[in-house]
Amino acid sequence: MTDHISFPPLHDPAPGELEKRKQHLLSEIEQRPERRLPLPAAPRLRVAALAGAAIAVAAGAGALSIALGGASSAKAASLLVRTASGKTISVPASSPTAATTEVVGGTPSEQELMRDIVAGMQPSVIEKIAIVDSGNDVALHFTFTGQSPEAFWEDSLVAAAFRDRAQAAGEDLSVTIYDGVAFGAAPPPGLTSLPPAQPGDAAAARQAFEDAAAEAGVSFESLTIYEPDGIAVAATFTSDDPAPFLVHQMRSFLAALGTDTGDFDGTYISLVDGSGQTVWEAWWNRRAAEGSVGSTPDLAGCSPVTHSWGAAPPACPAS
Amino acid sequence: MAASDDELWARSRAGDREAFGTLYDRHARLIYNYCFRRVGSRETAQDLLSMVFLEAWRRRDKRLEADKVLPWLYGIATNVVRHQHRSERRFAAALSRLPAAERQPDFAGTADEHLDYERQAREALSRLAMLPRREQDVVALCVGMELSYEDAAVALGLPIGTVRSRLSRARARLLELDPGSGHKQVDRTNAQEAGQL
Repeated sequence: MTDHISFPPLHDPAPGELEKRKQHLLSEIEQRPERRLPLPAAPRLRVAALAGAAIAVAAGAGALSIALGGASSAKAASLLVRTASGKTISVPASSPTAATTEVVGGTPSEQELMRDIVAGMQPSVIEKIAIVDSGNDVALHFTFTGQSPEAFWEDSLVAAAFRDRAQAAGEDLSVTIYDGVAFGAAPPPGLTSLPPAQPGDAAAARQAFEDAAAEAGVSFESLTIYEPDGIAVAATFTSDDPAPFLVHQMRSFLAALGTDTGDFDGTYISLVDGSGQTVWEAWWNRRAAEGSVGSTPDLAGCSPVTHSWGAAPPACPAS
Repeated sequence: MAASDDELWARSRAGDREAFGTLYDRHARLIYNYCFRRVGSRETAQDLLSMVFLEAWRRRDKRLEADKVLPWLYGIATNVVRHQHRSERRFAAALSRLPAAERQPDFAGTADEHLDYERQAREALSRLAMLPRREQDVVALCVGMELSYEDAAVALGLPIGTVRSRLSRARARLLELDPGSGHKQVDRTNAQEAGQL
């Protein structure tokens, strides 16, 4: 074989290079905190927490807030969305997925890119995306099957992927979201540069979530892997007794998941009670450095993801 | 007695940076040389080396079979080389924090030696490029780095039999393309135009 390919001999890199890179490596891995929840550091104002009206992402005056009203009982759960102008929108805590996602407007290449992103985002609650161009400014108008927590996560993922993939293709676009609630929000640049999904990433993501669930002794109601560009995962659990589930099982699951979602585009995790209503949810989108956490008011004190904003939640009934 | 790779990996998995640093000390030179042989550039290979170990740390939840730390690192290196552009994006921020290269004195003969290595690497790469990508990986590991079939199988996530058959096909292909064999490489474009393919 060596008759056919002659490789150069083993040798050292530049003098001092191995040691320099070792010190750099040790410095880099020290900077990565252990077992932390990859919550965004700077949520954009469009998004806020649920947890009644009390918990909201640290937003200034005029910011939007989203509230999950009522208790965790069947009938009362609904989302109350207040816009910057003070308008209140009531939306259900869940909505059916769209059969297809229609893409209209924009240039042919933008449509092609958006269709490719949408193909990696199925099933989706996004019913239609209209691309409205104005030079390098692109507005994405989203229509949903019904306003729901997933809608914000999904439009955030799609918009950020659209922006990043266009940029990778040489188009430096300013992307704005119009989704019926946030009138003109722009996803800010993410905290990190995230790579597109590679073969095997989706399976690895599924495995990571399943391993974490097995470790925590829970099983999914649903687990969906998306690929808008990188990997995004949506996981839903169901419990007839949400308070202890949040305190014990959900906390264990998130701890087991640890940093495994660190390179994902986004993650959406929710808890549905026995009646099928969302009672707790958390999502984040690393490309856009934004996210949301919330629960019904009676469960706010049970949330395994804590916040520093808003009034202190009531004591968790399971504590 | 020095700790085994398996012991060091177990400690690394628990977050022990010192143990991970020892694994680096033990294997960085081989991983660098593997990367160098795959890209033919010393500077690029050095960056790839950093990416391989950053990626290994990121994936430290991985449970490894006994005595398979180095083959697993070769597997990461293969993926990092294959998806070099993506890897650079993933670790761009980390690499940007590397101290700037210092100008090193040109020890007698060192510069010429490295230029010669790069020339040899380019020649080897041009031969490797005649093979399908999946056969390139097997040849680079089994021939270039002298990995056993078993270790190459671990590195590439393949059955041993597949490694063996790919290497066999690669050998046959290289023999056929050898200038002294009486065969020559077909230019696909020209051949298609001539209706030969």
